[in-house]
Amino acid sequence: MKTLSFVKLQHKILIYIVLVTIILAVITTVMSFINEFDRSEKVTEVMINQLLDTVEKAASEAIYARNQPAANDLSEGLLKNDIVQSVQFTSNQGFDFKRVKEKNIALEKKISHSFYKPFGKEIIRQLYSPFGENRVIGAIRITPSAEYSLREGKFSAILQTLNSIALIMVTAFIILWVIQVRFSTPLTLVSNTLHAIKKGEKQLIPLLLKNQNDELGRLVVDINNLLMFLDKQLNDERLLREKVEHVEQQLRLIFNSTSAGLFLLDENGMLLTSNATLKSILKIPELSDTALTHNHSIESFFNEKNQLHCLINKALQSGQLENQDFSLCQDTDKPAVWLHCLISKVVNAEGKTHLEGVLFDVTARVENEALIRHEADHDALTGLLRRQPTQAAFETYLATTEKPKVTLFLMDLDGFKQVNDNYGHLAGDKVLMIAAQRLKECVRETDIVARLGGDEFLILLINCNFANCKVLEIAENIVRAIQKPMMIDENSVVNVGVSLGIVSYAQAGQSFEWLCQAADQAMYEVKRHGKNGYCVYAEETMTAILLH
Amino acid sequence: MKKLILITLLVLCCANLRAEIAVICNLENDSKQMTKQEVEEIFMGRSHLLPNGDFALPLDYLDLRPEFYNKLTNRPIEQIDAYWARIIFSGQASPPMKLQDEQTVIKTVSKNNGAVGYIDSKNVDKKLVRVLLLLK
Repeated sequence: MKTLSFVKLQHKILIYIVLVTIILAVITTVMSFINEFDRSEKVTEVMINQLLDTVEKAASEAIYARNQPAANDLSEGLLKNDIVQSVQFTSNQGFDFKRVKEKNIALEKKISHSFYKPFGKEIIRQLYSPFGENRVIGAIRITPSAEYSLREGKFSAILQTLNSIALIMVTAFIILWVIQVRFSTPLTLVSNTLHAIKKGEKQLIPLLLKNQNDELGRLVVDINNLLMFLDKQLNDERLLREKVEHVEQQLRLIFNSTSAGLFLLDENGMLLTSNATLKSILKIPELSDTALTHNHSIESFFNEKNQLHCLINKALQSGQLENQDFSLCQDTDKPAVWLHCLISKVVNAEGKTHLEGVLFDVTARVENEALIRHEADHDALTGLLRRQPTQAAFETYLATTEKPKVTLFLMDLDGFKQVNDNYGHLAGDKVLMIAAQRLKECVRETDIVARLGGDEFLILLINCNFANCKVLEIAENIVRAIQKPMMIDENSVVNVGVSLGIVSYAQAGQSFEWLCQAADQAMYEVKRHGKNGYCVYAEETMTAILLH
Repeated sequence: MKKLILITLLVLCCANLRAEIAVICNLENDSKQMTKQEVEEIFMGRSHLLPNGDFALPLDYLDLRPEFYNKLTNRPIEQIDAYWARIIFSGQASPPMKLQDEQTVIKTVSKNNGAVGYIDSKNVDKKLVRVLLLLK
């Protein structure tokens, strides 16, 4: 594109005014020439008529008397006037006389080429008889001098033209000066100042003192208001931007330095973005090429893939924050790592559904919780289950098994009190520990061995009753195992016995409590007959079998 | 005022009655009666020939001269004299010959064929001259 060159306003005005001046001058010149030629023609006519008035009487007498010398003298006199070109006397009685001024050939040529042709307009004056009635006796004809008309007309025209041009020029210069001083100079000042103002720079246009009460003054005030407004706006914007940048920086710092792994998932559980911490939380080596970007399912990092999938769906459906612990999927030789996962649904500005998630390492807490639970469930001394978790395990077994087969042994150590009294509590504890160890060794890994308190023990044989197991054999093994001497320290060996009550779960409705009571009755039967033996519970008669 | 107007009118009437001038010519002159203009042109030097082709000889009679020219041209005698002065100056023509006495006029007219003069109409003798025009 062609760029238009910059033309100063003042120059433009000057050009316009000069153009207008020239046009006006040309028009004035033409008009004054036409007018002046016309006027000079009329003036010539008037002058010739005046001449004719002067000579009329003499001329009529000369014609009347047919006096040629007189007519000749008159003609000579008339031709001496510049405005007269030729004089002719005519008479109605054969007297004819004409005198012509010497011809100027060059002038005639010049006139014949010009647009103005002051020829042919002959002025005729009728001549009357000087005596008697007014009767026409002849005429005098005068041709005006073209040269004179032309010269006279030209002179006046030029004079008038010069006059008008001078007037036009003076007017034009005054107008130009007024425009320059009052409008174009202040406008140029405003324009140049505005042009020089750099964006974002606080600068104002100086007020125009001469134009305070017109549009230019108002323009300056308005421009200044706009400039100030713009400046304020820019400043506000800059401050806001700085603030936002500051906040963003802080947020970014938090995002990256937080100990929690942050991530964004799409609806299918694929990773969209994540922070730097997530990598370390998911135990991805620092130098690994595994990029946590698209096409990476978050589920692939955990052992409980189905549960995580369920959690994601749940979060999508409920729209609320869902959370669960998951263990990290990694090589078996490494210690388990537990991560707490928080997931919630977010809908972004474009209407797309995403999931945002937080992951943090809860291994220590999970381990701690496991420890606490273990301590709560197990006897601190022997490491055996307590009564409560044993009952829970029993009930779980009943609930989850179609045809439950379970046999319960309830045991009480015989002679434990004497050991306690004779050797002290520590020895008693030692006895309990040994007894627990021996009980464990007598049953399968899947069976449950529990200590109910004091020297009372309980065993649940899972999937085992009289029909499919040698229950009595197991009971006998236990009694014999406990009877073996126990070394409580380097020097002391003690002997304790055990009374064992047996009951098998036979029908629905038999609770853990009921089974315990039944086993207790059977155990009591053993104790009544002399200890160190076992007895199977029966409703009517029970036979204790003693082993010595 | 009224008297003055009346006197003026009376004087004019009397003058008219008294001043009838006869333009006369030689008996031999066979011209018919001349018009006032023909007479004027001969006396003012414009024409030198009579209607019959004879050379005209106009004669002025001094006593009647102002009245005659006044009646003929409606101009005062001073203008007529001025006219003749200009004409004489150019040397082209000469004014009519001036005669002192009426009898001389009659005598000159009767003796010259082309002569034209003027006298009081009361003194016209038809045996000697012929009247060409009567100026009232």
